[in-house]
Amino acid sequence: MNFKYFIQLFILSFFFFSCSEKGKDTKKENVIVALNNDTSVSSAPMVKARLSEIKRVINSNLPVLQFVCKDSNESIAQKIVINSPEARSTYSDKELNMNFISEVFSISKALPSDAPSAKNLESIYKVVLYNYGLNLTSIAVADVQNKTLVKINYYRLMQPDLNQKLSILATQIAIHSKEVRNELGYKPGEEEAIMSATKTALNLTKCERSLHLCAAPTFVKGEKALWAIVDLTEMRLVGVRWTNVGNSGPSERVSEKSMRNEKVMECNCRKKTHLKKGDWEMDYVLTGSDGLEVTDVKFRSKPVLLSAKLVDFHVIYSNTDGFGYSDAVGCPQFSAAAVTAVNEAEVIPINTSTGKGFSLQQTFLSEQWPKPCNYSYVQNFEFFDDGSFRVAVGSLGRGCGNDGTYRPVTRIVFADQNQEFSQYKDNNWTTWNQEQWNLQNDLSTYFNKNALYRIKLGNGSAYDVEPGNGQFENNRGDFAYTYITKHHPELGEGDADLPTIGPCCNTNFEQGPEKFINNPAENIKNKPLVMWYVSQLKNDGRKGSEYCWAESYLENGIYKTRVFPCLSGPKFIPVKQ
Amino acid sequence: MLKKTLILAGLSICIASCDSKIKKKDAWGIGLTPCAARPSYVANSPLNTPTAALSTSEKRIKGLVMVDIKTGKTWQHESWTRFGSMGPICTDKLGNTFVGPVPVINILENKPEKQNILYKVDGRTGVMKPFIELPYESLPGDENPYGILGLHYDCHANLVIVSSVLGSDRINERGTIFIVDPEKEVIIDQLDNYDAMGLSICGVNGEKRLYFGSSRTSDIYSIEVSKNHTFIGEPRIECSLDMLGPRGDDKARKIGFKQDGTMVVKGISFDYNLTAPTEKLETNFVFIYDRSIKKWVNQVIPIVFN
Repeated sequence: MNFKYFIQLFILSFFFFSCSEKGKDTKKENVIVALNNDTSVSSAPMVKARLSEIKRVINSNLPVLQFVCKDSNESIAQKIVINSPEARSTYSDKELNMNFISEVFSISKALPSDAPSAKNLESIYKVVLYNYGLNLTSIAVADVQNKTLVKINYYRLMQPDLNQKLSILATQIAIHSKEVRNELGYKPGEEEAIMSATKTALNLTKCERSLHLCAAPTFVKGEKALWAIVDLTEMRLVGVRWTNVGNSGPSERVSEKSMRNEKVMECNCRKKTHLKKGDWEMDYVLTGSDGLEVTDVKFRSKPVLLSAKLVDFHVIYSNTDGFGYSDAVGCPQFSAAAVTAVNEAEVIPINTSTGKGFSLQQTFLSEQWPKPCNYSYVQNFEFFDDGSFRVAVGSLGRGCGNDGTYRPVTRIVFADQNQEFSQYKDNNWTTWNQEQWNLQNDLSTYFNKNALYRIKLGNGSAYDVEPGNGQFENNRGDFAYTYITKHHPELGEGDADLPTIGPCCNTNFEQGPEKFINNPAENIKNKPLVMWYVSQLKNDGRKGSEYCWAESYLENGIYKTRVFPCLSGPKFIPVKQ
Repeated sequence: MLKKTLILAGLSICIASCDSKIKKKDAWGIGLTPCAARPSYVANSPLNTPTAALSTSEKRIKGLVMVDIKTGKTWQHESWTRFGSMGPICTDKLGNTFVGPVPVINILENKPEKQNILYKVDGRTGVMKPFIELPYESLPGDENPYGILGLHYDCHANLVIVSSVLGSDRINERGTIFIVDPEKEVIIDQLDNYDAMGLSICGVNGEKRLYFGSSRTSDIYSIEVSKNHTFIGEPRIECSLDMLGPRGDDKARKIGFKQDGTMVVKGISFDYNLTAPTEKLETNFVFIYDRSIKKWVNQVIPIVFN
């Protein structure tokens, strides 16, 4: 057999392999996506000018960016519409007593279909007004001769076609972004954004999650096109994605959500990423329903953790018996997660008075957060230069009420076989000989102020375990249940993805991990161990003392989110030998 | 010779399928008039009112529930909570109701391997029992917690149409649409390799067709259904929710037809992960069949601002 035949046979066998499973294969090409997680406005000069204009009108009694009219009739039509009580009724949030920003997108002579009953269309004009805060389009018809509003129709959650000014703005935001420059390898000229000023392009994207007004200036380079998704409501670039151009232009639509999902699904979901930073080394992966999992964590080449992940997030509301949710967190598509990742995990430097190092952070959102009954959770693995680390999880609100208690369930598996777990009690360390649980409460006593437990690993290292007791930022105490069980990799007790293990609304130790305490409880001295940590975080929505909370506020006429995180989780501090 | 054989073969296929096609004049009105009968157990329930309706999406209530849409009062038969959270519902002309399980928020009470069991609520007694377990080729994996997603009762032929996506994953579309005879409790035909959610039978274009919304894309397909209750030919795309509505990527959760032939589609965001009931942002889309171009055309409707 010569080499050519061998290749053909190999290709054939690969074909058979990939076709052997019944079902349509919907696999996509590998994607190249760069997301912009910086939420500040673009540095484009046009944006600066526009922001000044918004600030000038936002607190006036006419918070509208007006259209530059071609003639006096257009000007009269604009005045009639934006000053009408009907349009004015959309200008402010009555509860917050603040204005939304609106803009007149277009003014044109009305068509017969715009004003079917009009006898003379010469003096009839159509005015399209968009409210950025409400995502509301108003289409009005005005009679400039009689100076009357003929009619106004409202289209909630609908966006008009962009005018030339906004098309240029979208292009400017794109060409001033570092993501576009990095991908193209140069700063493009405005004329290269071939599609931003055409109607076709304006209809080619949506920001499905934010529901903001978005556009997609596109830059062609050879056989490929770079799509820049621009959020015109926040005046920032959301991200960029390459597509193949083909003969009739790009074949698939690129949007905010599709781009984010592709990035997270292709690059993070169920795919390990290796991270080496300072003296720390580990892999991490976004799981289907157990959040971000760090595995094979080493410090100065010495194994520390086999795995740490977030199994469940329980929330119960005390004012309503048995009401709450048991959420799993994980991949944004094709998963059993209810609150999902919309971005990749981020590595963030830590440089505080209490320590230096870095954190590996992953946030999860439900679609309509921060609206009531929607949730955002965060995992924050903190690794410090002195070898200490913290497995933190938290809530960014907002939930269904201010009487909620969050109970995240974290699973931590230590490295090495022969481990020993002790609790500080009555001024002594007491070794746990059997699987059991303990509640951190007001009667708990702490070694060196904060350590409640100690774990010794088989390799000789040991860690004091500090539960949250108010000593950490954004923490008012964990009041945590800690369970220690024997590690059974062969039994499916969490080494693979776990479904939701506990119900929402138990207020005692029955949060799920107790299922893994055998009956009778197994001996755990000098055995491989799993630590389950369930903190209890009571939210607070009162002004000035918000905790595990989020709220919307208006800034420059659009809604923004303010978060009041609560962050729980144990810190592991190396015991000096 | 080969060409002639092919033509003959084609002709014989045409004779067989054309013979089983429902005639145009009989097809026009199919699917335009609802036929669901009021279950007789309602008369004996505490909610014996004309405004009582069945629901599977009431907050804080698991399973099937009867709701008085005027007063908000609810009632459940004791069997209605036994099988976990429920999703699609349809009621036949005898008052029997069929319900499919759908996990909500988590899979604690909706195990993936149980998501292909169709349940039936007896119209006389109100008792809910497993009715038929639909077959599947691939076991459910951790990428997809769903099974049955769509359900429709065909008033014209007394059939239950069910769609399931059990076993589908990110790469492989392994869903199936089943035509079930509810009296004989057998599957008459099935269309493989389509993940579908909203289902509805309609004959407005002169053919009895099953319209179904893909749960993977925003497209709405249709396939012809024969006199013998089997599928004819291949599905074709009729219209799409792509770029329509506030999100632009909705999937057709429910499809219905009004008496004037208008198609009303309820679109939701769906990504094969679990969602809280509060997240169910639903948008109504209206399509009108334009006979001159033989296409479904979207109509945008203004709202009243308040």
